[in-house]
Order: sequence, then structure tokens, then C-alpha cells
Amino acid sequence: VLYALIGIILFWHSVTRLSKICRSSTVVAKDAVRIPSCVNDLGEYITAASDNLREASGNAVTAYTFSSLEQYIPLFLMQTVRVIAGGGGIISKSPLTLNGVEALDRSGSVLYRDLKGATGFDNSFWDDELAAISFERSASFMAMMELEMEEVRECGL
Amino acid sequence: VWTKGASYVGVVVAAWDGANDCFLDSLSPESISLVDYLVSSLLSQTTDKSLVLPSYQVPTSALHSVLVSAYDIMQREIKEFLKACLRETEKSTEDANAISSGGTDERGFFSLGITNDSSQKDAVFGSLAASRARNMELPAGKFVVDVLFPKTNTSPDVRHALEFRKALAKWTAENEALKKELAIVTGEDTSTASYNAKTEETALDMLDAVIKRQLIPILQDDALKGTTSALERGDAFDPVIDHNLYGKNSNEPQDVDMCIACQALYYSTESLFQALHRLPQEEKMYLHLVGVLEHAVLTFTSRVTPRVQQICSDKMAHRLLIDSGKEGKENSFNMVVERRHAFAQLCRAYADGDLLEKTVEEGDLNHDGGLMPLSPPAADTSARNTSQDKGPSAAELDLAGSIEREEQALLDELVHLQPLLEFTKDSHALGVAVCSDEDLMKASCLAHSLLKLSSLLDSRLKVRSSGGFEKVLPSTRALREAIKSIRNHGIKMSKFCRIDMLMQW
Repeated sequence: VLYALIGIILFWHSVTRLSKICRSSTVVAKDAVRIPSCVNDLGEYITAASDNLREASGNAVTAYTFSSLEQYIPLFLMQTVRVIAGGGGIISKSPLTLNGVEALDRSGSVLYRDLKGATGFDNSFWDDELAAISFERSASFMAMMELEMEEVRECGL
Repeated sequence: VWTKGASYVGVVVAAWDGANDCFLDSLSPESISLVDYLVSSLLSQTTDKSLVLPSYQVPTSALHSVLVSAYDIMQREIKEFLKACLRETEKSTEDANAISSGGTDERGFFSLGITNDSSQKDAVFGSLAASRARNMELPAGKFVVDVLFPKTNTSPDVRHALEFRKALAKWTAENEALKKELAIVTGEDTSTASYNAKTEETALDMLDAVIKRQLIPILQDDALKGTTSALERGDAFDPVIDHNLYGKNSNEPQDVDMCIACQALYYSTESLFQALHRLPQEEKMYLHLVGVLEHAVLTFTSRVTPRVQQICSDKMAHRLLIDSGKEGKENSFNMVVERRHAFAQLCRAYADGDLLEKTVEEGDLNHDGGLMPLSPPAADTSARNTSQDKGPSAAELDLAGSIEREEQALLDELVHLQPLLEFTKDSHALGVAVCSDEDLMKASCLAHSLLKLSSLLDSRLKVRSSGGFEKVLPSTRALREAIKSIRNHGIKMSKFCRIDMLMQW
């Protein structure tokens, strides 16, 4: 029963993917900088998943399961930027705000911290250098959202 | 010679304690010379013609009858010893129970040994020497039952046959060689029927018969029934959760148990693998054992395949991995994910060094093969191209190129993962089916269990020499292939876990 409950709860988490940032109201928030709820959910999810997987299969398989996420998460963030810059997601209903850009930037930091924490066990395959390069790239990508849409398109991004 | 015969039994007793290798210092050339001298002097000094046996009439075979008699006596002694070790008697079971109960009748429950006064201690020490002398006089069978098993807290069992097989075979072969050497030295004709005639069954033959008729059927039954009964369980492949995991020191490597089915296969075939190392490799029963092991492994694999299907079916990660695509097999997603450094690290974690060497050889085309480099003599002039001129080491190259390699691997993978980047569509619309957390745990547990099991089984087939070299037991190719299929399933599940984790985001 416990397994079934955990499964149901975490399946809900799995449906909450990073792509939901595009549809988050935090991107267009005018009053404050708020982290999208899906980012917080993913942080909790990956921490719980790391513990569960290590318990079931040890460090090596868990390390492999989480390997290369330090590349993919920045990639997904950059894809979010592309979608928003193209006028997709919630931007089609309301204009992007600087709070929203800041929220995205902080989301990257939160995800970096959560991912590093979840893969911080012994013999992890976490690549510090690769993670730094990838997350810096996504951060600079997000910073470009402060530019006008036309300017971003002109950059060929 | 008789003393030597008795000492062989003593050595077999020592072998019982695990000292199998120190078995064969027995029939030294000095002892042969001594026997030779004794028989020669007997022949020269005797005046009683009735003492001259028929074989003594031929001086070159004078030693033969003596050696045959000694050999028979030794064989009889060893056989008696072995029979006592291998047969299970009701008495031995009772004795074992008595030993395990601890003999509390001699001491009071709360006495803490105080009731044993000094006079009793003296009596004990005095009787100890007497009992040792008495034990030396015991026949081999009685010695085993009355002294050996009570002292070692064990009981007779046919499984002990494997403990003696290797040492006994070595001793028999060495005895034969010495006998032949003696015959050559004394000019005896080794081609005669009398020389080669065997008066009675040797201890080795007896042991082989026991192994063949009694032991192998038991081991075979254990292996197959143990594996099958575990596979029948509903939780055969489920994770075995260690609830004390978080109580352990996190700096220590966490060794997670395999699932029940993998543990069953591993432990129930342990005796059979031991038998492979101890039986002669040219014998029919060796090949039979290999066949039984292969059967057990294939039975296991036949249940792994549906389990993998059960976990992976309808999942996006599985579809990506089995899809060869238009790019050909070399650029299929299944092959592309192996280009990651993490994949090599995973193989290294479960391969005990073997796969790492393979990976390095595949990656480094300039490698000079598997030969150990020889250091040049000191008298040689120094080479113009020193190691500094050769450029950075392989490790440095790996570090320098790893970022670029990983970036390239990402691009290669993204060719197959484009649907994931369709952020404006819902995951259901894209048909991205992912594992629940429970299924992901099961998948990762299966991956770990299969990789660990295949690595452990593979190492059981290796023979490590004192020089550090490894070789594989002969005639085990099909068995190794079966073990490799377990490993392939493990790798497949590992890849599935990784890709499914990507889908979760």
C-alpha cells in the first residue's frame, strides 16, 4: 500500500515536468519574484528519487541514472527561453516581466543546487566542470531575455 | 613406509582444515633410498631361502612388491578415512547435536568454571597427553568419528568429497611419478603386466565414484531447485530494502543486496562452481557440471526477459532504446548512449577492472596490445624520445577531452530526443510514458542485481595464478555467453533507468 501511495504521489510529480515553466504565472508576475512551483517540486522529487534509488540499487546504478542531467537541465531551461522568446506558453496571454526573467534565473540556481545535492553521494558521476559550463551557458541565455524579442531573434537564438 | 602411510592420513586430516596445498612432501628421494637400502641389505644378508619371495628372484623388481604392499596399505587407510568423512550416520548427527548444545552438563549454569578445581585441571592435563597417544593408535575411521569431527564441530557429509579431490589427485599423480622414477632408476621393466596390475580400487577412484554417483546429483538438485523456487516467488526481482542504510557511515561504499532471485542463483550454484575448480577438466562429469550450470543460468535468464518486458513495456525510454532508426545500428540511440564517460564508469564499477581495460583498449587506438612493457637494460643508451616528448598521458587526455566529448555525446543523443524539446505540447500528447517511482526503483534494482550477479558469476570462472594472471576455465564458452546475456540485460536496464529519468524532467 505504501509503495502504491508513493507511486501515485511521485507519478504526479513526474507529470510535472520542467516544460511547465513556460506556462507558469511566475514568468509574467509583476509584483514579486517567485520560483515556479514545478521547480520546487522537481527539487523535492530528485532528492527523494536519489534516496530511493540508492536504497534499491546502490550508488553506481543511481549515479548512472542521474548522469548527464547537469547537461540536460540547462538545455531544458534554454529550451524554455526559446519557447518564451518565440511568444509561446503564458507569454501569449500576458507580457514577460523582469521579475519573470529573474525567476527563471533563480530557477536555474535552485535546480543546480538541488541536482548537486541529490548527486552528492560517494562515487557519483557528477561532473563539476561540465555542470558549471552548462549552467553558466543557460544563465547567460536567460540573461538575454532582458533584451527585446526582436533583438533576441536577430541574434539567431 | 608404514609410518609414511600413517602420515598421509595425518596429512589428509590437515587438508580437512584447509591446508590442502601442503600435502605432498611425503615420499621424498631420501625415503626411497632408505627403503632401497633396507631391502638390499635384507636380500644380501638373508640365508633363509624361504624368505626369498618370487619377485626377489629378479633383483631389478625387488622393491616392487614392497611398494605395492605399502601403496595398498596407504590406499586402504585413506579410503577408510574418506568413507568415515563422507558417510552420514545417525551417531554422527547425535554427536553434532551434542556438540552444538555445548556440553552444559559438565558445568553448572552459574558456575563460570569455578567448580573445576586444580586437581581436576591436573587430571585434565594428564589425560590430554594420554588421549593424544591413544588417538594416534585409533583406526582412521574411528579417529574421524571420535576425534576429528567432534574437534572441528562438523559432521560427515558427502559434500566434503570436493575438499579432498584436488589434493588426493595431486598426491596420487606424484606417487605414480615417483614409482615410475624408482622403476627407471632400478632398471625395472615398467611394461610388464605385473608392474601395471592394480590389486584394488584406489582412493581417488573411490572418491570419484562418490562424487559422480552421490554428490553431483545433490549439487545439481540444489542448484536447479534453489534457483527455480526463488524465481517462483512473487517478489523474486523486487528490491531488498536495507532499512539500516542511513545508519551507516556515508563515506563507506554502500553494498546493496541483489534481489532474491539473483541471490538464489548465486548461492545455490556456489558448490557447483567450486566443483568445477576441483574436478579434472577432461572428465565427463566436468562437462556435465558445466551443462548443469548453463541450464541453471538459462532458466534464470528465461525469467529475466519477461520481467524486463513487464517493466519497460509502453515506456518511451524503451521505445527509444530498441529503435535502430534510419541512422543505422552504429548511430542508434542504444549505441550513442554508450559513448558517454558515465557508461564506462558504470562498467568499471561492476567489472572489477576487466571491462575498463576493454574500454581503454577500444578508446586508445595507439595502444600496443596487452603485453607488459619490458624495462630496457641499464647498459642501453637512453632513448631520444623520452616519456615527456610523448605528450600527455591517457588520463590527462581524457580530462582534456571530456567536456568536448560530452558535448558531442549530448548532440548525438539529442538527434533521438527531439520530441522531448517540444515544450509547447503536453507530455501525453507526445506519448511520453514514464515509469512510476516504484517501477523506476524496480528497474534500477534489477539493473544493479543483474550487473552484480554477472560480475560475480564471471569471476567464479576465472583461475588466478600466483603471478597475478587470470585464465578462464576451459569448455565454458556457452556458460560464459549465458552469463554475458545476464550482463546485457543489466546494461539494458541501466540505460533504461537513465533515459527514463530524463523523461521525468
